[in-house]
Amino acid sequence: MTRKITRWLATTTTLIVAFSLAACGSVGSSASPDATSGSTPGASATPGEPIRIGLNIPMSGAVSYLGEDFIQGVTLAVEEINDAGGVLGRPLEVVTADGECAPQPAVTAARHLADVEEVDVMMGQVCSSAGLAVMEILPELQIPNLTVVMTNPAITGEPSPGGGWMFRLNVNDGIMADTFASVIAEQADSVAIFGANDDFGRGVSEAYASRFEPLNVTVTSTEYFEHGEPDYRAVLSRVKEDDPDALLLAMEYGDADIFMRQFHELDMTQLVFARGSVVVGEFLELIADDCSVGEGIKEAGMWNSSIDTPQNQALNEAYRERWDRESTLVGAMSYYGVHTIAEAIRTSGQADPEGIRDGLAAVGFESGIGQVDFDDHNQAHPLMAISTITDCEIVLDSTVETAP
Amino acid sequence: MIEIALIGLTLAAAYALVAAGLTLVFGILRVVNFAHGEIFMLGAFSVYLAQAHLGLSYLAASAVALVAMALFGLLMYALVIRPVIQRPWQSGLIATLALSVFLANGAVFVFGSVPRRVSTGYDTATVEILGAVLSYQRVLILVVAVAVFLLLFGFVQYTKTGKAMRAAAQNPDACIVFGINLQYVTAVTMVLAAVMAGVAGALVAPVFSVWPHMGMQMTLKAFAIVIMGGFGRIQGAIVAALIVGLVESFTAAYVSLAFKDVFVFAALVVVLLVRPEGLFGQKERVS
Repeated sequence: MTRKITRWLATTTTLIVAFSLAACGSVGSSASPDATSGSTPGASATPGEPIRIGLNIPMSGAVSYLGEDFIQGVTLAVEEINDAGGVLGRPLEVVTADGECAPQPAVTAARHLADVEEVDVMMGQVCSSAGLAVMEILPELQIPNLTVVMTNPAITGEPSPGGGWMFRLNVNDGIMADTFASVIAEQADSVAIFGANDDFGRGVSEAYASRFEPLNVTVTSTEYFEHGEPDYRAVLSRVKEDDPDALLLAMEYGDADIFMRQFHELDMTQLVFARGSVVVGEFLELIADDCSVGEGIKEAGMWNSSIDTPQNQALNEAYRERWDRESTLVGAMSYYGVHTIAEAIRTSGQADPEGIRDGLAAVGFESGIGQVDFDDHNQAHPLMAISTITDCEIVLDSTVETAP
Repeated sequence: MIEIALIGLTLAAAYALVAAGLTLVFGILRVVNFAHGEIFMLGAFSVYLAQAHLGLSYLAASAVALVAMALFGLLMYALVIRPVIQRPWQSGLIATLALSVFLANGAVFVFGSVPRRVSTGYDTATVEILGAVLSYQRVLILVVAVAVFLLLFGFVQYTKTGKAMRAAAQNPDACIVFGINLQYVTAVTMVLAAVMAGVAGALVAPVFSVWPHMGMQMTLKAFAIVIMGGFGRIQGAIVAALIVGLVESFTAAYVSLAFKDVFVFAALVVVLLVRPEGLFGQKERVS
């Protein structure tokens, strides 16, 4: 029996690993997702048929904590809008599907939102690999998708992405690298890049490598890791031997917590620059027991709680009151995403998918992160923030206008 | 090189603690426990909860976690293992798989999916060994793992219950003839396995993070180790864990962090090609 079970388990385990690796490395080849749905509060505040917003976000897997942040921001915005009478007299209603931050589950979740939930507009995904996959089926689904945190430049690389149905509210890594690569080059001649092994991490790596070259910055090594990686010590030991001037991290705060502790365990002294969600309140929450591990990290980002606009400061206060925690990057961007959709519906005067798409293309308003209007690549150009962790606090160094 | 080898050894120590429990349960209960990684996760969460909500020190919180894991092992035996132990092996596999899904998602539901932090008070304090820099916690992982295995071998070799466990692993039917209480032996085995997974969870919690899906990663590695070492063989689990830990560490350092699992499972394939029964497994006649 032992032999039989050994053979059976060896086959099963190998298959699981093969499928997992395939899912991480390519679009459209992964285990099927567990699509779930549920409504958020605040949907019945005003009479009339609800306008349905579908969230395609990770609710399971290594970055499911980003899905939680996403829901918090969306819920806050939906409650605000519904309490104020909705949009065109109709309330907003939210349904969610688990996209797992992976291509195939995200595609299945998008189909679930379109075919079963019959949403009018979708928001998400959180990971670029998932977003790039969903983008492929948007012309078929005929539903607009507003993404608020994905940064791979390819998403809005061509005019009318996703057949004109994909819109991106946040600044992408190409836009951010135009400025941030120079900031890094002022302080470092050599950089080791650590990126998540997906289209986000690889997008960051490519965007900066191409901009470092004319700035005479050498990339000593590029290391990719899976989200949820528990141990960076071995690779950090080797990078320490290479002795670059700085590290550039393309990672989320959950991974950065472990990474930075192991960085300090090795007593490394390199400058640390980041892209993702490292210089954010969520990261400071995680390292609260020893906040010195985050000291000096400088990050270019799409949002910062210190951006000094009235709307952004109001968001911080409302977030604290509603969720009993500081506003989060993903939460804030999803909050602005819902307000952008509401503004698009007001602009076009229609809340069906075509009307929302046309509204997004035509929208123009001042938000908490600057002016929002989409170019012919459906890319908005709000503010970009550069921040540093100083004395265990996030200090906003500068906000940068990104409009072309 | 020495530093990378030592890091590999600390990984191996944690893997060995989990895999040894898994192989023990299979060897004696003949149950493939897919929920074993989730016990590891619960061990880590128990330390976190005891520290965050009871205000205990790391060591006291770890002690609480081990007691909690012993109780959990007993509960799991009574509610999940015992009802399926006399049934075909697939029943146990499905039952534990269901428990694994329930525990992982239950943890997301109860704790949320934000990673949690266990602090020892000396998280980034380091010591130099043979020119290699290691944190105190990693040294603790190595020392405790060695101590646990010495205790385990002593227990299995010299105590009456340990001898009964060995007998149950070899021939359960003969045990009944000789009046050995098999239910007691299997319950003790389950408790031992749960405590060892809990020890691993408590040890790695300050080095890694504590989060609901940490068990799934560990289950995958533990199964590779158990298969490589030979099902039911504790020595095999230890040797295989050493191989996996070192392969992971050197691959991460000199090839790519992203490909370390590829190399681990390639090593598994090579071992199975050479010894299909595993490093310490025994050939069986298949009727």
